[in-house]
Amino acid sequence: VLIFPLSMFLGILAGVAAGGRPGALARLRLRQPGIVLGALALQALLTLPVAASMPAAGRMACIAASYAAAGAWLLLNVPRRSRPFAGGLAVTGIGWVLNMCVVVANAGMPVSLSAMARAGLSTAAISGGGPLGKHVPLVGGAALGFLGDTIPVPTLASVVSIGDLVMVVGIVVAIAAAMCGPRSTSERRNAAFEPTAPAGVTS
Amino acid sequence: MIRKLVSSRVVRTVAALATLAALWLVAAAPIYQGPRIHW
Repeated sequence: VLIFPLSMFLGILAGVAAGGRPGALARLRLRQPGIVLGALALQALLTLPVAASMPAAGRMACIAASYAAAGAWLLLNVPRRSRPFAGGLAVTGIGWVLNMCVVVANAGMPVSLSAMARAGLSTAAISGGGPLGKHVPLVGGAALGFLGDTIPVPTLASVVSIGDLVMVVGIVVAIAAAMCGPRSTSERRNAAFEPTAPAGVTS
Repeated sequence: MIRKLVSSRVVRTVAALATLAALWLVAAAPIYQGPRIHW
């Protein structure tokens, strides 16, 4: 649960190291945030008591739709950005693809029980599908099992997947890039930011 | 007042980071023993 705040912190550190300013994040305009918030709401629905009696196909459809929405949001936000920011989102997208493949193949993210033990987690963490109802135990013969949650991180009491780690790298790069912002006029035209009006011009 | 709040730098920064956090929650799938949604 601390992985995202840690990624954010690393991104801000990297941005400062690259000469950026945290204040520049205020100029970052991410398009259609409602898509990703809706996807999050869809996954949260899976934790409702009523979802426990949902047929496996319905559950799978919700998970697949939420992942599709996350992918659509990424696709929508990459074009017409600065190269470093677009690169960060593209790497995040690779992590998304890796996670989506294994989730769709197994109707949920398979979690290695031995990795959970190594990370100091009890099996209760995965009961009911885990924090957002999308985890399943990793059993022998799981498709693309190596892409599942198999990497224990005892320091954070967590088990992560290869896709999660790739997403962390992408988010760190995207935050750092957004802090550095456009540096030249030509770059500003393709920047991660909305164009700003010249001084003295009001709309 | 609301327009001023929405346009404040702090709110814009938090909104951008919250959107990335939501993306992380949807697309990443680490398992942890921490807080979870209870209804």
